[in-house]
Amino acid sequence: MIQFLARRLLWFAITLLGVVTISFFLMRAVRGGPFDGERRLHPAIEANLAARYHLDWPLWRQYLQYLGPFDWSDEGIGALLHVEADTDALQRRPEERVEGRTFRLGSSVVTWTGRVGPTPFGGVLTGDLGPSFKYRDFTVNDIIGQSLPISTALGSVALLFALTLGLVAGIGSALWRGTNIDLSLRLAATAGIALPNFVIAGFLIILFAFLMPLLPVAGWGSPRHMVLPGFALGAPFAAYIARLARTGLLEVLSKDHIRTARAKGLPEWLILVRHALKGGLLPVVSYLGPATAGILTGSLVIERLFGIPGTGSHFVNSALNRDYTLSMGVTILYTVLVYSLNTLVDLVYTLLDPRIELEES
Amino acid sequence: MGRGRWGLWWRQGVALVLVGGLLVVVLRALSAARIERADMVFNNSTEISTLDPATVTGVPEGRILRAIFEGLTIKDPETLDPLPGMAERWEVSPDGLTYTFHIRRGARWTNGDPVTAHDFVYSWQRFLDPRTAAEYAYQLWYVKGAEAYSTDVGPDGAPLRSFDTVGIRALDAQTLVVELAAPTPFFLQLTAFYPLYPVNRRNLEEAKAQFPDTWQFEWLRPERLVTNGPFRVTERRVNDRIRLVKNEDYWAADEVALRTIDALAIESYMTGLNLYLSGEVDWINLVPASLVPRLLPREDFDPTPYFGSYFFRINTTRPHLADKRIRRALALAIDRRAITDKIVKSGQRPWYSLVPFGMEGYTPQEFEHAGRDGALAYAAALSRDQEEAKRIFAELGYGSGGRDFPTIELHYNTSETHRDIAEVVADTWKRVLGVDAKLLNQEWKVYLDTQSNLNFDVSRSAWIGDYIDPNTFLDLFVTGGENNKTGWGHARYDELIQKSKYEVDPTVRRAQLEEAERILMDELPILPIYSYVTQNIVNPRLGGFPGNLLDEQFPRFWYWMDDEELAERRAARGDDQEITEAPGPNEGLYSPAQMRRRAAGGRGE
Repeated sequence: MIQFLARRLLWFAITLLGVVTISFFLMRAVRGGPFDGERRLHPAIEANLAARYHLDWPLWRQYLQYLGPFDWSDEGIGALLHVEADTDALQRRPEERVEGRTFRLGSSVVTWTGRVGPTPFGGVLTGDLGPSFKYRDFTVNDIIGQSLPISTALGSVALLFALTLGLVAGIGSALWRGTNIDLSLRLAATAGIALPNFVIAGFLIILFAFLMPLLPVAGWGSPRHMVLPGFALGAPFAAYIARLARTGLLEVLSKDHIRTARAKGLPEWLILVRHALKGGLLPVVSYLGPATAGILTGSLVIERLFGIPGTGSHFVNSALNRDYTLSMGVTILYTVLVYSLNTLVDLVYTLLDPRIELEES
Repeated sequence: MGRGRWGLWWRQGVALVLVGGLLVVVLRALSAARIERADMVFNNSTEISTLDPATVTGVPEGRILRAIFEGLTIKDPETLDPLPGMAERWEVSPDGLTYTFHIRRGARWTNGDPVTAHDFVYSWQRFLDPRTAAEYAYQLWYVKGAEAYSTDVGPDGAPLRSFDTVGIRALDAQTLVVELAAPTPFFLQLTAFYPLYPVNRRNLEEAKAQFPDTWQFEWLRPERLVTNGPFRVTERRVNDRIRLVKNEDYWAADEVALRTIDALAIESYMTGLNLYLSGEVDWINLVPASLVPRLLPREDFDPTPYFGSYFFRINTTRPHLADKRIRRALALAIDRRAITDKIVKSGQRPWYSLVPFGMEGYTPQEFEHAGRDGALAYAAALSRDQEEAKRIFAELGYGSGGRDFPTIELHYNTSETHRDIAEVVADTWKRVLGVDAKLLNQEWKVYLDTQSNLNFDVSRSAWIGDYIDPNTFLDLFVTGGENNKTGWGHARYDELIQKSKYEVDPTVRRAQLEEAERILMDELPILPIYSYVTQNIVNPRLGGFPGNLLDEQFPRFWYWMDDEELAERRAARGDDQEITEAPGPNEGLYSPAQMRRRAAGGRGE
């Protein structure tokens, strides 16, 4: 098991570095920058802004600075290297060229000066995701720190809805197979899968906020605010869970060991609880990993509709705003979430099914 | 790993951790902080980028900053004329170049410090310093030496010039002298504009000392930020709300009626409207376009003229669009009323010039078209204009029997409304002139990039004035200006704009600006479409909230009307608008004048 986790951790580090690198350069390759607006800036002001955020550096240097843990500015490790942004620099000041220590890197000219040792600095490697370009009063860590608990709370409520509704419906369906109860539950499940969550949300708002003003239309701050978005977000997942639970249970209920239990004269509920559920719900468990990730990432529409200050909206807005650091921050966050959730599901699997081992192959 | 005792142990361990984790999360969810509804709640429509007045440029930011800071002057909420703010009074030299401001005694920062002339010197130096990277720095470049101070930058990013070369001086704690490079008739509007608000030196320096690495964030935290306006920030939750609480130390605190205000950051127009309709929000500033016809009859939705212009930029460097006669034909052919009546629908005016409707002391100079003198009905004028457009095209050898005009690419940023407008334009060009227009939409930042690099034929544009003066529009199209984005340039136009900056006589200046706009409208590097209106829906009971041309609102003047005043207002309006719900007021939120009247009435009984 330890070995399994160690292996996972190693792959995790490699995946994360890959995601950080690829999304960093992808993000920068997109046209438009964080400070482009309808009102175009005076060139001098634009240059001042670029200098303040190091956007005038060559991309590789910005990448290293972002990664950390060393400071690549002229005061930090950058002092070791003298960087000129363009190759013309060589022609302009030949005296600054040091034999054997000057080389080209991309479009820039770099000279090894040998001054000053590395100074520690933040950077992603130390868990510092940097300042946000758009929300300039906050660091990316601040923003995620404020919004993630909200998304997690919403996600938990949605998951709670999904699990209770899904399991009750699925088990009910399996137990009363072929009856009208089964039929109507399956119909509801199909509707839940077919309807996108924002349509469900629209119906819920009209019903429970305007026609019967029981719940707030939008906002965040009390348990009452969680009901509608939690339900709307959880509904499609509840429907899937219902289907999976029904199929899984039906399969198990036709197995030999269940027949044996029945032959022994055990009451039906005891058979269900003691012998059928454990095996019958395996498909539901394996679905929970992707479902949790889906609930967390899928919450952006629901968060927008209900005006909930969660992480979902940053996922889209930061890319549109070219808020490089925030966009990278949420991408990293989701990578971590999906990866750890999948690992968790693998662990839970061994709990439920004794036949499954964490293989070291 | 086997299935021994240890295996059993870890299985139970994992199960325990899982259940525990879920419990913690749910408990946390249930104990989420509950905030009481504020006296007044409005939707600011987005999260603001910063509370630092020096580095801000947006409208939503302005709404918050006007509540928490105060400049030398403030604006009359209705006429926008300058009123005394931090400056109790001021003198202007006869040549319009020197302003002497007398700072109000008794004006205090929220940390107890008096507001002095030195605060303004410090704040404006910081604002102009290139290291602050203020996007709006040019709003203070009207001051002598300011532009050079901001733009002569050393290799370390610091200004090369001394601040002594800039015309901003404090004679003593109470007297601020500002020397301008050119007489700027709207300078007292600028001193009320948020980039010119002062910040507290001690606030910044203490944060720098305490947090050498993160002071940029720390000085703006609600618990540390020092302000001088009618309200202060007590709570900030990203993407959720900003809580503003009345500043009891504000010099005119007696006149401030509201105790708490919440500014929400809801981005969806529909959600904003839902919140308004359910009474949880008292003012929203945008509505879904599709609902406008249903909202128009309501008393709480009253679009008023807004100092903005919707137009298309033409890339005059494209060979087929270089001839001004072609541009004129394109401008004449457009059915503007189809756009204002069927697409945007809130009472926007079809417009034929750059400077929008509504400004006093200036007449927008429309390009020549049949409806200009108002003698012809719209339909008749349009058909005459379209005939004229056809004639121009035929004369240049295009159209039936002649050459085919090259396809025009109509460029806009992704949005339903912009697409519909572009379709109307493309459709009329096809019908009237036989010109094929291809629609091209791009995501916002890509669209801006395309526009800046002149990679388009015709591109959707808009401009909202920063202050009430034609200069805020006409200055855009000087040759090589960074917001010109048409490739157009005209020597006489540049000369007139430049002259108008040094002109003290308002009549002469007006004539210069009008002549400049006539040139622009003769050359037509842009196709004017319509003049803007505001989109506010506001609780009819909210007082001190008159519409104005800049759509700027001033929380200092807000109050809740009592039933009596509301009834009076409704009677005075005397139209047949649909009466809507007007929730409130909470006791104690009446206007101070009203309170005095009530108190007087009480004594009389």
